[in-house]
Amino acid sequence: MNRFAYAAAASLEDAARKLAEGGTLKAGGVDLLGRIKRGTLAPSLLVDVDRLEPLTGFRDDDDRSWLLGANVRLADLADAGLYEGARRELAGLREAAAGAATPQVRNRATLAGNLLQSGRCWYLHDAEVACAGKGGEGCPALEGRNEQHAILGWTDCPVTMGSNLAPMLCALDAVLGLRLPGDQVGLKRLREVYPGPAKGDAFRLHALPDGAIVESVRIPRTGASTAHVEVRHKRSYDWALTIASVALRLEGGRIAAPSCWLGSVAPRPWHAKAAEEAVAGKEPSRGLFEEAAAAIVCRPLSEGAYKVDMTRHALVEALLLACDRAREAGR
Amino acid sequence: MGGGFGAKLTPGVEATVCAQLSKELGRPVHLFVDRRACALATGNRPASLQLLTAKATADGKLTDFTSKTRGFPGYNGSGGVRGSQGYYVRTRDRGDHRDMRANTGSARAFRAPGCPQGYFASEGLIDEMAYRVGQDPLAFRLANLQNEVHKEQLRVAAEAIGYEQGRNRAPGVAEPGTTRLRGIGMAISSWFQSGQPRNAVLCRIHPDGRVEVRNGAQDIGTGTRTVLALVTAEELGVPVDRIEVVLGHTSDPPGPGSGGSTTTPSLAPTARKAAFLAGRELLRTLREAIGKDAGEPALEGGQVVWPDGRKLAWTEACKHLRQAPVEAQASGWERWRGYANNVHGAQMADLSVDLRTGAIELHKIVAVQDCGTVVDKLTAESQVIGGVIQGIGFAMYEERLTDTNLGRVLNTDFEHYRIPGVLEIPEIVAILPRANNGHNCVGTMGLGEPPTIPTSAAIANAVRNATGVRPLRLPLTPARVHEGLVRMKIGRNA
Repeated sequence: MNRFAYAAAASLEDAARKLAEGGTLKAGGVDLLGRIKRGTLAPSLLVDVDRLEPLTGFRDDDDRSWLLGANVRLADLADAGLYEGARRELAGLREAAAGAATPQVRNRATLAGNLLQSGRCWYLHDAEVACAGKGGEGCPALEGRNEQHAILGWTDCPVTMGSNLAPMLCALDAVLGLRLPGDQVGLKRLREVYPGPAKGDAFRLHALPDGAIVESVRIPRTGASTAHVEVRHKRSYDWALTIASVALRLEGGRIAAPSCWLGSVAPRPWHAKAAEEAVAGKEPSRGLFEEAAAAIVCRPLSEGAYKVDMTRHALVEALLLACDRAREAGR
Repeated sequence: MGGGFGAKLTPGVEATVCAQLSKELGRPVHLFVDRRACALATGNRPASLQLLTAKATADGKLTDFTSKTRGFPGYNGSGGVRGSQGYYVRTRDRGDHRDMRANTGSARAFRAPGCPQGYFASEGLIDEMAYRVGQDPLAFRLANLQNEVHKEQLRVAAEAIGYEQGRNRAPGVAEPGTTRLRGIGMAISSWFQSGQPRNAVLCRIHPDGRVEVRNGAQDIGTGTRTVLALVTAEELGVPVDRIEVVLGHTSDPPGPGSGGSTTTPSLAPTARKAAFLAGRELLRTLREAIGKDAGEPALEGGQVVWPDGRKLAWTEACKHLRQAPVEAQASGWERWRGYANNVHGAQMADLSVDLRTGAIELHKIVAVQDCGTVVDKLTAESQVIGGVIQGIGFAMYEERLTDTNLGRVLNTDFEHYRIPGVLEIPEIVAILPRANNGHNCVGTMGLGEPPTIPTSAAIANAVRNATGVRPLRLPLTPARVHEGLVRMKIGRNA
């Protein structure tokens, strides 16, 4: 662990200024501390925004959306009490948050930190192993231990996006509220935030500009029902082997506006478009969902074949659960 | 070096480095090994590859058992394995074992070295033989086991877990309306230690009635203090809160090394003898103080009594010591003939496997274990439960993921090196029936290592009972169980 200076930001403006001077943003510090301890990041100055009032809170912003502060804790997101009036529509988000890590970590970890966390790969996180994801050459995972690596949407770096929340918030088409360098503000759809690993820096799976601070996450109200299903080895304190997050409506007994996203299987939250097309306008059934899941074409590495079947299973279960909730809403 | 169950019984490369640094500097050195360095270089339970062959008659009598095994002890140590086959069948097979060396962390004495892996394989093959001859694995074991203690323990475990009602008579078929496959599996175990010869215990009785018990061994969390206090209290007949056990000082009488499950069988009898001798010293002092006319005093129920009916409570009696405590040191070791030379165990696991994900959910584990005299029930049960939990880790979670091209361990933190957490641990029932196999004046045998030996075998055999697929590799990750289900087309049409 390197020595670093620490400064608690007095305001968002103060934080932006310190970031421009070369500081590294810290909120919950969960992902950050792991990297510093493993020696893959050596910040000179940590700019702490953990306690900034403008980054907190959850509210019905207007009739059309909910607004969550960037520093809302995963523990809060996992708490049913947060969702008065949004129980069905955000049931999947609650499931996603409740399954993450441990109660202790959830008390620290923030919403924005979860969305912008490092790519997951044990070679990437070993400071003494050279790889293209750290600016070196080649990828030891391709010929090595790759049971947890990407099975979808990768080209040369099979790192995975491990965020529990990102697939659900992509399915809900959430929008990030940003404070950009030069005191600008901006909005960005979460779906457009993840281009895949940055060249030579697979820790970074998002495309936000340097110095940007996420202030909020806005979730549009569409009346959709949601479900989040993940498969883990352990029931708690473990990364998901695979994640399926679904939002949909039932209109006249048929599926409308399905949104299917997968996690921990690709270097980004994976949009399962083929599955969406297969279920749109149809009457829900397990058989239909199994067909839809089979439409996802995967490219597993040598140890990853199991993830294909497991991912399809998670998607089928998430679709079934979301439809159950939509039916309850219709009663 | 800390932690007897943490592969730290003997000095390894880290101790050598520490000693060398200290010598160079001429000053004491405290070396702190972090998790990454620990996983890379300080040793572990070695991996093994086992090819076992068994033969049985059509009606289920085991007639032969042979083994060809390879151990992977890194740069040092032994990767040998020990299984259960000798309890089922007499064989001339002496095993064909070789160690394969590599420049990785060395084999270290990790809780019952060689046994969990050996029993996983041997109990797995015994189990499979039962299915192959069309018998229930419990009946097959009862018919082939030679040892009455093992047989009785299996019956007790079967009763406690509800084996007859719960066992899966149609492995691979899901419970109606679910994707769950349920099963019960079992395994026996055994361990051999009854103590180490070179140890001594000092017992000192103070004028204020306190009794001090001293030995140089460590209490590595296994309850050594509790055991020595209880044995001393019982021998002298005084309340246990008057006993003060002091451990871990080099200047005190020597204890056994914290290995082999030997501390209790070594020290409990020695502590009893020391207490007896110290008590005699107290009586000698009293005889002189009270006068010989009153006859020979004796210790009875926490009092000193004389033939003429005179009595002194413990505290009053000790006051006669004035300023001078009395003490005695006992040493040595006993090996009496017992019913058996070993301790025995039998465990059963009840679990479900999710057909779609390969994920295992444990429902209950019953662990029947003998250890000679149970000195303290709570401590002994806790020891058994802890052994089972570590066995669950070995069966389902713990694995050093090593890149064979780079020779590096990849999962050097608890994000990826999985150990059981509270949600992974089922109801665990520890049953400790008395078997008369203690070889000393207290009747104690070792309990530290035995309960972790059969757990992984019982879990793997339960997975076999649930799914019909024989697990051949540990840990039983969802990926591996899932792979077996797909390969054997369990619950799948295609």
